[in-house]
Amino acid sequence: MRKTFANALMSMAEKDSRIWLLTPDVGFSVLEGFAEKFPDRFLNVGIAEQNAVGIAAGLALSGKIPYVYTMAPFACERTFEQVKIDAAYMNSNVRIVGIGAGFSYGPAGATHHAIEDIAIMRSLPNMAVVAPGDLSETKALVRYSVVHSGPMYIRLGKNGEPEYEHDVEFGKISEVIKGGSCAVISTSTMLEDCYDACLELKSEGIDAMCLSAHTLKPFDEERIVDLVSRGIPIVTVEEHNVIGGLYSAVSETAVRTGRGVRILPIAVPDAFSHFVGSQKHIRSRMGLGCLSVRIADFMRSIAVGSV
Amino acid sequence: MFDENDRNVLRTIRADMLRMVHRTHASHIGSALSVVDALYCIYSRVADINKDNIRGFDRDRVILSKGHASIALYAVLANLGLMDKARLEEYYSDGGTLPAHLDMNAAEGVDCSAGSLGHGLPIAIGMALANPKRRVFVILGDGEMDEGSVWEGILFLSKHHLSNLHILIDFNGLQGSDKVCDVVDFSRLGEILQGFSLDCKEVDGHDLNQIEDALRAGGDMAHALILRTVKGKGVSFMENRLEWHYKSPDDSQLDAALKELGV
Repeated sequence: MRKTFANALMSMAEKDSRIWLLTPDVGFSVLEGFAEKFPDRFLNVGIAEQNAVGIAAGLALSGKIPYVYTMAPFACERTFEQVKIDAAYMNSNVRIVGIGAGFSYGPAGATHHAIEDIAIMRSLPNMAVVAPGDLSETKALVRYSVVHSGPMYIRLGKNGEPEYEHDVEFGKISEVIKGGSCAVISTSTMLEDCYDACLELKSEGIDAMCLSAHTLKPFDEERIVDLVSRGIPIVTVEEHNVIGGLYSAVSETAVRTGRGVRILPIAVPDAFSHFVGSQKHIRSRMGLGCLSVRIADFMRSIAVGSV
Repeated sequence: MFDENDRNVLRTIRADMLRMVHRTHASHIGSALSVVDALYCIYSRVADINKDNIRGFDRDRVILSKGHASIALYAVLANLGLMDKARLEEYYSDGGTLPAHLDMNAAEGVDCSAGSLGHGLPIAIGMALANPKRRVFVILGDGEMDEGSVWEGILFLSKHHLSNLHILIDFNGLQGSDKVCDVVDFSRLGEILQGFSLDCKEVDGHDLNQIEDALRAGGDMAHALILRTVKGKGVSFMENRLEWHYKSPDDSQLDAALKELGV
């Protein structure tokens, strides 16, 4: 997903000289192509994330479109006040690119995990938040990011994400697999697991639809209202704290409809990981495993009317 | 050369600032009196900013990073015809348009929002990179030099020699709760800035001609100008007194201050 981002950005930068790429000393083996091709529009600002976002804002307030690329926790949290004031408050065209969604940097430990970034970025006025789930969404959203007006957070994975054929439009939830009996909505890097889970559910007779909420803000409320009005149970799946992310966005919309709907959140509990291991291992220890079994249980519980 | 006419305008600007904080009970008059001469110098003579170009990018830019001194910027813009002077009445009041800390949406000529310290220098660097043919002036407080993000910017300038960038440091020696020298030892600040490849000078921050000369000097490096200033400058009972970081003058203090200014 990182290389897909870098390639997409390079092809845009060839056509648009307003595009700059800044990094606080991150991007080994990913950003070299851009740096070589556009040396005047590439900056390693040093291990100085606040400086990176501030410089990006100064560029943006002068008509440029700067992308700040680093690991998600450092991109959003070390810099939070620069993101809030320099990017969001001044509504500047800064793009914050956070790599390592969720537990992508699993073995690196909790300093490198990003399980609160969506919540904090969603809470900022003016800030758009996108979290592509596969390579086609990455390409489409990076292309869109050049024309978007205002600041944007782009949350990327790290580890060989797949590519599914489907329509991708900024601000809309994408339908990756059609279905009717329940809606499995994922965001960001959980799309692959949800895709597989939906296929398994179908083989067990549960006609699950696989939806990808690659844009968390502005959020596709229309789609949620439609699901609720059709009485379709919803499962939200995110590699993020259960507070403030996709589950919150879906629930906030669903509650406003005034109708009842069952929603199962599959998310990281409000806890830090102290586990050691790969992304897959930490996901399983932090509540993100066994998706198809849990979704099937959820659907059975609805069928028998239990609460 | 600046002359008596400029000194008269500055007396009016100082009086406007005093009336603004008197009316609203706002803080930070000391900081504003400290920096207002430098702002006047920049906007009146040095920077290419005027009514015709103020809406676009193709002009010089000014960032008042010590955004709590906003009244100095508002009063300078208003008295130089870059902002409607009636708007000074809209400062810090219900339904007003000019906030205590800078909002770039508030007025043309406010080039950057500011209020939390340490943001201005990196933004100024970005502006200087984006537009190498235009100059960027960024004004920091001496207390603001405590902020780590300021030093991230200075370290960057050790390798990126942006000769169109002018950093002005309003060195009045007092910060929010203490003397600056009792918090951080900045006695070798000039030397330290030189060490990171900034072209550093010191001037009397209330001498308009000295400031102008320093800002017009050439060179290949980013420029740092340490302004030796007096907090509360121009009103004897406010000068070098920490409490005027917070207090606003009452009726009799306003009268006394205006009398001293001769307006």
